[in-house]
Amino acid sequence: MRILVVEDDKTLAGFVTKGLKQAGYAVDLSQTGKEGLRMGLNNKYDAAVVDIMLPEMDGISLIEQWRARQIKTAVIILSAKRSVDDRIKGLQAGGDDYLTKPFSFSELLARVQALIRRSTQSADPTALSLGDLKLDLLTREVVRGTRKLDLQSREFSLLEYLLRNAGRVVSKTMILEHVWDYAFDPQTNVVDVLVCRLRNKVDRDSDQKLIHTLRGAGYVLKLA
Amino acid sequence: MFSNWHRDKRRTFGFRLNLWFAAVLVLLSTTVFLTGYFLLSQSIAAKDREVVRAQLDVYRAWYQDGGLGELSEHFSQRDDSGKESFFVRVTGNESNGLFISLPRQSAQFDLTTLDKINLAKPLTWLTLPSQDQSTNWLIATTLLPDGDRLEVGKTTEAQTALLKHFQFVFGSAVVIAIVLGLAGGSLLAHRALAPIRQLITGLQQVITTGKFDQRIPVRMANDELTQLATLFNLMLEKNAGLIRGMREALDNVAHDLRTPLARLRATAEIALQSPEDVAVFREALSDSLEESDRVLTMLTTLMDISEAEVGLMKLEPVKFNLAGLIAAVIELYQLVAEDKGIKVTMKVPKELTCVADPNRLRQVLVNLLDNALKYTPNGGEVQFTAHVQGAELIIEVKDNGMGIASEELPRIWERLYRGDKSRAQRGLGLGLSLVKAVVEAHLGGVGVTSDVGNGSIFTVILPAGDPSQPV
Repeated sequence: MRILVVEDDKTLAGFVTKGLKQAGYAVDLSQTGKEGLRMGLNNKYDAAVVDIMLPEMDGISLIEQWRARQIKTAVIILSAKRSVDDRIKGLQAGGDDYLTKPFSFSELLARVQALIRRSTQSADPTALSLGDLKLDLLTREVVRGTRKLDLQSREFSLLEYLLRNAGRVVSKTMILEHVWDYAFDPQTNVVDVLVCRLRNKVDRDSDQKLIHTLRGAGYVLKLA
Repeated sequence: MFSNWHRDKRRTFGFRLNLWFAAVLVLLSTTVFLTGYFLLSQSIAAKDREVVRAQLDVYRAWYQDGGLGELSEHFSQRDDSGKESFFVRVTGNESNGLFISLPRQSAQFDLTTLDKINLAKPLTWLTLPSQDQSTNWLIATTLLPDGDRLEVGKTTEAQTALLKHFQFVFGSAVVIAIVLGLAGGSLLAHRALAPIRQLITGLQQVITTGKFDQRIPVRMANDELTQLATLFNLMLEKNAGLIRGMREALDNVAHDLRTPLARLRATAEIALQSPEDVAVFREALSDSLEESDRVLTMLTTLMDISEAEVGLMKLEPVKFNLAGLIAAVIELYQLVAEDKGIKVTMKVPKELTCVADPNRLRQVLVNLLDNALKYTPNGGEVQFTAHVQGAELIIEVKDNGMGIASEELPRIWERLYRGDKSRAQRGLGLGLSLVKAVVEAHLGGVGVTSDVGNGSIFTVILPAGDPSQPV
């Protein structure tokens, strides 16, 4: 898996590159828009992380040129602008996802992974599992060991989302987006409440806890 | 470029105005002069002919009475100026002078020219220049019954002198008119353009000094230039307001961010000074991360509030179903409400529509519900109601929570204000400020009534959309 990062801020670029390498990806870095365009045209990447404000050529034009030349690499746009307009502009230009600065690396990683999965995975699985936790997408049955869990629909959606991203940190914003289809952060504790309820049902009666909180980052479903 | 153009006087509007004014004046006075001159010279010429003709008639009568002898006898007896100032001649067929009288002290003219004319008409008029070119002779010639010719003439000296005088008088008048025109024009242009010069000076000052609170003086006349100055002032006022708003917003944001940033810094500093302990460091790093997220959320919210307050918030109003939006907001908080055992209900007409930015209005309602749930004890109740009253759409969020003390009521909309009892709750103290700012950006208003111990009612009033149109 090969990822292209186009970002001119050296600290941020170093931070993103290092993190992606640690996650097991091969990473190429470009610090200008024109170089990024050329690299994207000459090599095949599985995903690209593109900043909007770039020297020589801005990120939006870069994506438009790629798309015009049939480069279908999945692109995550990084932007310091937070307005809905900019988001829409970025997605219309051909971006696949949009992340506002400052962001947490775990969120970027999760989004990159989601994009790569979307572009590589062919068939949707019918069941998800982690350890002794099993979730059947067809019958909507959830079992922990021998115990059958009775989940409400939001709880089910959250668990499904966490299972699909097992081992990866998901932020509150991502949960709001996927479980409620909510595009902006209303500064609520709604997510905490839902996670708390799910945790009560999934983890309370088991010695091995599966849902972990990472302060300042989000939640992760994992065995250890 | 800005400072150059007004130095070139030839290009100024005032100069051109003056020039046009003077040109019109000169043209007018010249036309009047020329017309007057033409009419005057015509009437003088007519008068001269009349005089000459009268003389001619007298001489012809004498000649017819008694021939040449009678004529010369009468002529010698004449004692008036006629004898002195008129040229009289009677010639035979062969152009031999039979009788001739030339006035004394008058410029002579060439008599032979007279002989050459062909008498076709009973009376022929002729104007001959004198030999020294100083004057003209006006001569009338007629054929006497016996075939002789009678010629009577006079110089146009008097006429010329009169016209000369007239030329002088009118010429002087034109010169005076030009001088007065230029002076008056420049005065007029100067006076008329005074407000424009004031406007230019005022604007130049505003631009060069950057003092946007300066105003252009407005005269007490209700004309176009006063209107222009007033409009410019209005524009300056509006710009100053926006700049003031932005400056205030920036100051507020900077001020409000100092505290959490100080906290963030302190956390890192204390961790660095403590003995090396990974657990402590991890804790400090987690704290820093959370704090920085809080700063970020605060920044976003403060920017929203500031933008809404100064009118920079981009709103995309559409017509939508209000009941649907409220239901979605309640649904989002379903779990939170359930956890606290609070019943959230709504009494909103199903078909009630609303014209607003749905995302922003949802933010408003989410904040109000979040607030109500926070301050309502377990087992309480929160109710949304909405109705149209006249031109207003009124949305109310009613809870039976702890209520707000009356002395705190006016302050709850302030940025970062947190009442004594609310400090225990999570939050930034920005929710209600955002609600107020967003609603006011929609040209609406907010209100609150509260009864300590029994609950509060928060009211959002929005301009009602056109109810006749379907969703």
